[in-house]
Amino acid sequence: MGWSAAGALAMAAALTFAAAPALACPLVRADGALLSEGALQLAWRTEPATPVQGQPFLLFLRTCPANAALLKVDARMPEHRHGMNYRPALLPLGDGRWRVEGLLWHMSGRWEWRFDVRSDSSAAVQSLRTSVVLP
Amino acid sequence: MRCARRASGSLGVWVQTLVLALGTAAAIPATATTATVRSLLDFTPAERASILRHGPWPPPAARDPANAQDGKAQAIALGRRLFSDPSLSAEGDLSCASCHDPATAFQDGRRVPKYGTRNTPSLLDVAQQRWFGWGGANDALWAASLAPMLADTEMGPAKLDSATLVQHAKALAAFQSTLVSPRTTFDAFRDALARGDERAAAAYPLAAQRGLRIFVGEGRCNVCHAGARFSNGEFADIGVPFFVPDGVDSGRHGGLKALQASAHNRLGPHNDAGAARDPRAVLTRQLDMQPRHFGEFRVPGLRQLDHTAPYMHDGSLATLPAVVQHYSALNEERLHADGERILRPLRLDAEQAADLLAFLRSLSR
Repeated sequence: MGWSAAGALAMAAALTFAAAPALACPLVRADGALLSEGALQLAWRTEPATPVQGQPFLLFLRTCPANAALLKVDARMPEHRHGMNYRPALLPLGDGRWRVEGLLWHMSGRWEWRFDVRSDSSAAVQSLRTSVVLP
Repeated sequence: MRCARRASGSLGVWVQTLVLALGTAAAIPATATTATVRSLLDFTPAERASILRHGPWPPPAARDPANAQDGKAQAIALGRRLFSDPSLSAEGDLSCASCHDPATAFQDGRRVPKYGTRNTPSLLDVAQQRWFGWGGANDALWAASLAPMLADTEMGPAKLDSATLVQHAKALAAFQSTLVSPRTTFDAFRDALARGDERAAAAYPLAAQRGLRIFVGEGRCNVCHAGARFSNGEFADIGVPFFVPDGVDSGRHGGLKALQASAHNRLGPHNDAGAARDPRAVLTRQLDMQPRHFGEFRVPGLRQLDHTAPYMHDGSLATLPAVVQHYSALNEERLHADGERILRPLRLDAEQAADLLAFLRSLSR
């Protein structure tokens, strides 16, 4: 194997490793932006990475523990005192992963995410929040 | 569209002539390069980023999965013919073109039609909308094209069977998808900024540059009038009264109810892709009816604005200066008490109002 081919393979392997999500708890940065409260961890990322104003986008979530139930996803503009015009659909993908559809941010400015999660059937609902600014 | 093209052609020559004249004048006191670069405002990186988000224009054509006729030459030709065919109306006296007149940017120039309470919108760039009608009662262009043929107050009651009507509506939509507005002086400016050509960017009139700075800055107009079409595609209450002779026009609230009850939405049996395979059906399925939707109306795009007077959902503002004045002296008490808090009177002085107007007019050709 020539040097360039070996180098290309090594680079491809490195890129694959970097892009692949972590496979087990605890969650790591490669799983998405991290939020945590007590023992509960949540990673989130959007597709596209930066939503476009007025265009629908997807949200991918992962919870740790994997059997935690995602109960609600919402996003609001606190300064505007309103949320989205849509009620997102939460689709379980297994292994603590979720796909969320029906998201659209119609105004630029600060949006506050709210993720309601129950770690197990006996636990209280935990609301994890974070803010992002849509340019 | 034919007339719009004629008008834009002559205006385009006029603009080119003016730019040449300005360039000649600029060469007198200094070198042309120095003189023209000096006529570009010192836009900040944030302002430049905001400006670039209003293009490029035109965007790539996107086919509607719900309409298998979209993009097909035969359907476009049929739709073009049907658009001016009065035999589609019950009395044989009205066609789509009767109100969406190609000679006036595909609208009628009236405040409201004889039997309606809402202004007839232009059809230029209509295929890029997500929701159709001022209240968004339709989620597909073909369904919006079908609605007038069914309405007794417009072209109805329909004489044709349901299946034929739907096929006609899809051909009409295929034709309307071709109605894309031409590039403007703003687009030339925006693209020049994008490629770092400040000399070319400086050809854009200074008044329009100052108006653009208000639009993306203090005026925050781009919070709703976003993207290449200058609309976020959603709905807003901007303080235009919604009282009509027999009550109120509930705007998006009524539009949502009508859409969700319609057999002709993307979730219904006439979606050629099937709702499960139509990515655009997701938003229809996930719509959320909220009290604030009452009195909200669709945020219109701003391209070719100069040719689409009068303005607002009720056609109550006759001219573009009246629109600028509306935002300058906005009646805050008229807005929802618990709702949007981003709107406030711009309180523009005469020069600022003229600048904002110059920018808005640069979106037309």
